[in-house]
Amino acid sequence: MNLVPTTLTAEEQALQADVRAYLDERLAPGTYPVGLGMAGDVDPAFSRDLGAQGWIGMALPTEYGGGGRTAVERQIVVEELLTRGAPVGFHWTADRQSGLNILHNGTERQRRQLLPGIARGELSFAIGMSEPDAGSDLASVRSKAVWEADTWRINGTKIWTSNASTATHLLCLFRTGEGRHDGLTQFIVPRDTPGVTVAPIPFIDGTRHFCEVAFEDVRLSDDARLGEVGAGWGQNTSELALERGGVDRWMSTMPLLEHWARSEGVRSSEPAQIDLGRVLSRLWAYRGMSLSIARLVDAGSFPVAEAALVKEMATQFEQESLALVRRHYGRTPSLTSADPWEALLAQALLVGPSWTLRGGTTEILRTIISKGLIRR
Amino acid sequence: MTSDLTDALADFFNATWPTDTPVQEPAPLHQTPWSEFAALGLHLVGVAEDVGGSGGTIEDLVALAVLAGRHAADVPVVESTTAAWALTRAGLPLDPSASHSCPVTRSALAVDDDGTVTGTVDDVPWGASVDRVVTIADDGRTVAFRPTDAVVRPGTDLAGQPRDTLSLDRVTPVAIGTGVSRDLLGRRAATLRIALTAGALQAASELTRRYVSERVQFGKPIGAFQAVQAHVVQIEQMAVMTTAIAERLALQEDAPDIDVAAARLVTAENALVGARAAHQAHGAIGMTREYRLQGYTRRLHTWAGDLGEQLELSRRLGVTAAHSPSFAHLIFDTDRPELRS
Repeated sequence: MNLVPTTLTAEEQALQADVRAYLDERLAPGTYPVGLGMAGDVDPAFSRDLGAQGWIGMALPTEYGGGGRTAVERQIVVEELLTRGAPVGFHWTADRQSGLNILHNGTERQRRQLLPGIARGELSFAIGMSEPDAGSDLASVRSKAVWEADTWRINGTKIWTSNASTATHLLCLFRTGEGRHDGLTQFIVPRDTPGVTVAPIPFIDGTRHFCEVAFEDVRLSDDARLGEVGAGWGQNTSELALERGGVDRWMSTMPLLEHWARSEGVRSSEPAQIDLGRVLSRLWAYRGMSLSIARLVDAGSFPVAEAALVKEMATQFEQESLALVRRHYGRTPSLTSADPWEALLAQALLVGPSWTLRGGTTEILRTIISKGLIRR
Repeated sequence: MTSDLTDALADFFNATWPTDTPVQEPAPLHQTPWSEFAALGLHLVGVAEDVGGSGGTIEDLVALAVLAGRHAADVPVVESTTAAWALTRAGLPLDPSASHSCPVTRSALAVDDDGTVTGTVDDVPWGASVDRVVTIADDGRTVAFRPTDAVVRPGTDLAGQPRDTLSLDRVTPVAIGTGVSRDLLGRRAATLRIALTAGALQAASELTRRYVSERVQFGKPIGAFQAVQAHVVQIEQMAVMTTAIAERLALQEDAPDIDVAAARLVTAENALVGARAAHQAHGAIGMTREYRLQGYTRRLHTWAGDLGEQLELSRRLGVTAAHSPSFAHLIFDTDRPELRS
């Protein structure tokens, strides 16, 4: 595998400066709850404002309301958002993957109906992949969509779906046939469809964004189907590749690191400086690799194994860097502390293990990388 | 990097340092393929043609060093090209037919009023068997001298490559000049050692992949076991990451201090992680000198150490970050601040 190094063009640097200036004002410190990467707060008003700037759905074509811009430009925006722990929860999934999935696999009608709303930050997508018996082994999906009297009838349960309770749409993988892979189809389900019930599953830190979604005799027209019948596995795999290569895979701890780096504790402690320097060096390296992957995407490549290779090590380093911050903290941080940074550190310690699970566990990623290496 | 240079040199490297035999124990320069290497002008890549060099950019030179690392080439690729470059940067004459080296660590060398030099030059790869050694004296001037004028204490690095200490007592140098700083020379040599490391990691990764697909235990190739795949993945990650870093530094003729420091640190760690993963996947055969892997891992350990004191590099990066307006922007910004001391 090879990742060709790259730098930002003058235009890309100008975008970076614009985004910084806007966010410095829109997200003044203390005016919003600081989040951990893609698990940032759900704030529809912020998502709409960001959409108005043209910074959601940037990679979508302009004819569908998108920005007609590049994966690199999207990365620049995302870097600035995640640095601030911005409330990206409402639009995150739609911006990162659902919009592109609809663009590539949807009908013209679906594109016109959904993409402009995604780009405006008005639509929120949640992903219905996992089920009680289908996690890493996603092809074991059992929730069924049956074609009956000109409608699809859907029954089953999706679990561990982030932000389903606040989403406007669910993008789900259902079984439409017997074939392990070719018996799967993707559907776009408006969350308010009769028969859809969303119930929060309390998360380890006490938050309630994680959900179980039940489908009970849900009726959908054929317009809800995304892509061909039986094409769901391939679409889903492509979507996961979009999920993996980005900077969101090593930036969960960035607000904490940012705060720690400028704290008195670091200025006065040589051991802390040594740890901070080490974190800086590795993040510098991961960032270079993420940028190379974004350039590959812009060049029309589909770097599945490369994205997995970076995610596998970067998500482990996220937790390692957190452990370094933790060891300089000196005591157990409290989740209910009046100091928001202490509470955020406590939250990060609890949710940290999820970073090497979501979007493909470390073990699954290793298998993908191995297969990618054998093919070369 | 599929540099044109890499393609053009593939045959020469494959013939000179074949990758299907155990790595030979290094020897003094005249017993190595140095003359073939120099006949192609490879000892002067990255040095302008109008001052006697072979031409080529830092990108070409990094590609050459990656190739040398991949083949465990037993000649001073980094030191010869860096020494020649330093000479010309200091405005000193370059003898293209001579072999050059420069020390890995800082020299303690005083220039006396009469123009002679006195002191110790430690850690010179092939120091006793090259024609000229180039180093930076205490006063910052670039000095070239003949090892035959020095008292030699021979030594070797972990890979068995010659690494000698040269003591000079009122020696008249071949040349002395100004124009290249110790920092600049150090950054260039570090960039090239990172490239050597990247090459060795690539080769170790390929060797590991091949071995686990051929070695059968419990009735199947050991690469079929997920626990073994984890090592295969890790050595490849270290190779891909280190190569990306070397090529990133080569985007500029003179990469910023802060980037070189980060690259040194990451590479030194990667070298050790990669060596460990490759050995773990290989088992006992990898521990023997009859097998090729040791030729790479011994070099990886040597170069990791040559990249500098990791604690000091980390500390300086940490201090720089602590005094920067934004930690994140230190990672993202195109304009690079100075590395603090």
